[in-house]
Amino acid sequence: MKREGFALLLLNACESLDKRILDILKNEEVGLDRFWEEGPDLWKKLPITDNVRTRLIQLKNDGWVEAECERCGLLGIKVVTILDDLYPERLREAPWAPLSLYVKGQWPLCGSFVGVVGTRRCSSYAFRVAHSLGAKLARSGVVPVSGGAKGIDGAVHSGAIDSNGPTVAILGTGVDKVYPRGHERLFDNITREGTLLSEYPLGTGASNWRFPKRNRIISAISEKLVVVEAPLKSGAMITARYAMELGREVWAVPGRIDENVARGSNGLIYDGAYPLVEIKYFMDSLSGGQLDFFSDGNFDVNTTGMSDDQVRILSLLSEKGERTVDNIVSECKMSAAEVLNSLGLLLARGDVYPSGPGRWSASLKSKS
Amino acid sequence: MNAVLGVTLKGVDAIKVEVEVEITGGLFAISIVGLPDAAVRESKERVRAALRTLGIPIRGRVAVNLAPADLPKEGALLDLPIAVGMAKSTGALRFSRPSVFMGELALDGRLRAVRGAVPAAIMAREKGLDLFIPEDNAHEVSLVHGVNAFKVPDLRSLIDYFRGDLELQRVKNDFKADQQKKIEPDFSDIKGQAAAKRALEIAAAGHHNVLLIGSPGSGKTLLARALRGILPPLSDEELMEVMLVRSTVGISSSRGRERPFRPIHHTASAVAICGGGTNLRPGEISMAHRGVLFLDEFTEFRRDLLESLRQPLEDGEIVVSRSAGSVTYPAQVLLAVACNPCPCGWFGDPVEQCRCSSNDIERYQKKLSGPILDRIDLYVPVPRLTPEELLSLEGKCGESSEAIRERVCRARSLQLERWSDIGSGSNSELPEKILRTRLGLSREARSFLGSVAGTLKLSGRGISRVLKVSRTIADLDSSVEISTAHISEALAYRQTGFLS
Ligand SMILES: [Zn+2]
Repeated sequence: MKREGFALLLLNACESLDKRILDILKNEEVGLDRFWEEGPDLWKKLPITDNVRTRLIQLKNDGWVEAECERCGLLGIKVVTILDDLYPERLREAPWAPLSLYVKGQWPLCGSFVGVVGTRRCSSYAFRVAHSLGAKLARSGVVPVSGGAKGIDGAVHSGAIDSNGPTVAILGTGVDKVYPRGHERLFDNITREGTLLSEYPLGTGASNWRFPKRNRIISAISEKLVVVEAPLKSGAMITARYAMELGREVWAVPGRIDENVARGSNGLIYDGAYPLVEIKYFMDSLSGGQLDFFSDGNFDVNTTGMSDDQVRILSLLSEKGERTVDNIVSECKMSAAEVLNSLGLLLARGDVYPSGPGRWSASLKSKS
Repeated sequence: MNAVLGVTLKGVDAIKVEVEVEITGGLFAISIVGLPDAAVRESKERVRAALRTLGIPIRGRVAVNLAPADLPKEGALLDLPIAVGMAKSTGALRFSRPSVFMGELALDGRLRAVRGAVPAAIMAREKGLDLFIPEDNAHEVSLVHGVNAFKVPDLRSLIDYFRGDLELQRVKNDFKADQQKKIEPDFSDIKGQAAAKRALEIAAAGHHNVLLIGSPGSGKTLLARALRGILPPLSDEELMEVMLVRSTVGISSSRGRERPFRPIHHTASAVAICGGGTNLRPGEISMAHRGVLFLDEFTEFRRDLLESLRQPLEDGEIVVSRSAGSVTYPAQVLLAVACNPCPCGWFGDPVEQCRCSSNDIERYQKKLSGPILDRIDLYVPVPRLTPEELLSLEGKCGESSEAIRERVCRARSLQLERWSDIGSGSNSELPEKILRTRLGLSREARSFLGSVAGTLKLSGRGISRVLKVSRTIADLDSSVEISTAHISEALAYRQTGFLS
């Protein structure tokens, strides 16, 4: 890495600094090379706070930058600085863009980025929607971007992974850390096709104030943002606010109005965000397609290779919604055993899923 | 020395105990040696009082020796042989036929029922001994064919009998197990639940353990209770095993050929469930032998308790250890386990709102997994039906338990025949090797299972369970081959209705 890169990595380690420090250096007519070479003698003359100066000197004296580069090398982690070609373009445009990014996994990724965020304590319905969105985006060559938390974040990533597509998790910790606990496997899987990304130096642990900052990156890096389910006060709403400030298109999945868990996301719709009423419409909007709402009343069901019984059951579930086996038995005039073996087959094909104990629904997949 | 025979219990077996009584001159005292427990030591007071009312006074030093010396003797059932032994050594009675005595003495000489009469009867029959038992134990002993047993109302009658002054009634072999008493609840009493009923039919047919998942009020417990009504009736041999356990616990009333149903609560102690305790006796898991053991609110059970159930579920018997060696009780149970779908209970309910996050549910699922879940072949989701759904089922009466039981019995006999050479009575007990080779899986079914195992994320164990269950479904269908339809139905019972 060049001296310029060292300088950016060093500045980045003072967490209070961002892209704006580059303007300050420019005003002082100090290049990054010189900044790195001359060290503390030069820094005394710069208009930076004492705290920052002390921190810079300490890190420099410790040889932290060289050590950090070595650690990254050992762990297979890339450092992408703001002056790097590989630095994401949309993020670079943000006035507060971080000076360096740590990237673990595949980088760069092709395809446009779409942020999908929501609450950790999501409803099971929202979890399914997020999972489907992740899968659908990944299958269409779009890269879903989210945080690394449980709930919606995790659902989006696992959806993408299940369709073998790339996905990006922006972390509020160092990329060598796993937070929350229990996401070890998920993070591993993400790095296979996608990437873990963070502005924080290796070893940075979880602390509450870092997560809202992380949300800014999600909104900046993404072309569009989908809020799947979020209460009024939540990280997802912070992300949405940043996205609106940056002029990103914001979509929100309609939720129940008698529950606090969707008050934030529903509120976004009220404020003019696009309601995500069909995954298909959202996908169409990505490819610049027209929003064409009421063209077809029915869902298309791909029925190749299905028996008549299976088609009847799937049509019933697609058209009329959730059913118990008792309902299906009486509405399709079949025996319980016949209904169950058809459901088993549809389940294996991914066309239905149990939406509650003893209740079956058609998958979103078969509704697209 | 005059040895009189009594019994003590080891597991569900009666062990012969020789009671030797020696009376020497000197100051009155009774000592009992040979590992007696507290109840046996107390018997000297009861025995002496009872003999005194008969006018048989005991004087001098009385030494009672219980042999074999290293076997712990327990309970009041040795009262009678000790009393007979004392009476015999004073010369108050004599007899020549080899006989076994059992019974607890009241102070006035009447005999009280004891536990262990059935094991004692089996032992007496094997060794060709006459058996003298309290009247109240006669009913259970009437089950044991070929034993020469006598009903003894009190100690005086016994002594009169040996003096030739009185006849004692023999226990007749007239045990009547009411053949087909209607078992409540009947399947036809349960509205709807076609899927759960079908799953339970499969469980009964292949002896597969089940997990019932449903919201509060969905009827999980009712279904579990109805399960025993569709199991095949107890065979003679099984009935004897069940009576053995009941007799060992001290319950003499009979329920005929109805299989036991034992619900256990998560607050129950390990001793109550597994057996043991100071008065060593079988626990609930043995009381459920040849029947249904039901664990409601499964997630509330302590981890260590579930852990202690694992071995017996695998072996079909439970070993209870104590300081003086261990005993074994039978524990062949069909396990039915019930739980809510999520911590709040309302996941997926169409009316009540579930307040759990996907996080909570994930944690809950983890709590479910473990040693017991590994033994469960069928997940049976039980929907809580809405009033409208219930109304729509009005007037539609499901099949009776009896009709279902007939199909279950047919499927069972197919299995008994097929697996006779490997000594397995049901599909659920099949060893892995057999599963891969002798199931009769059709070619299409095999390739179908192979193609979906990945998408459904089935583990190796999960595949084995699907195979066993689909074998049972095929048996219910009287089909030699397992078809794709059988496999896909089995797949439907691997779904919990949780997030996955
Ligand atoms: Zn819940």
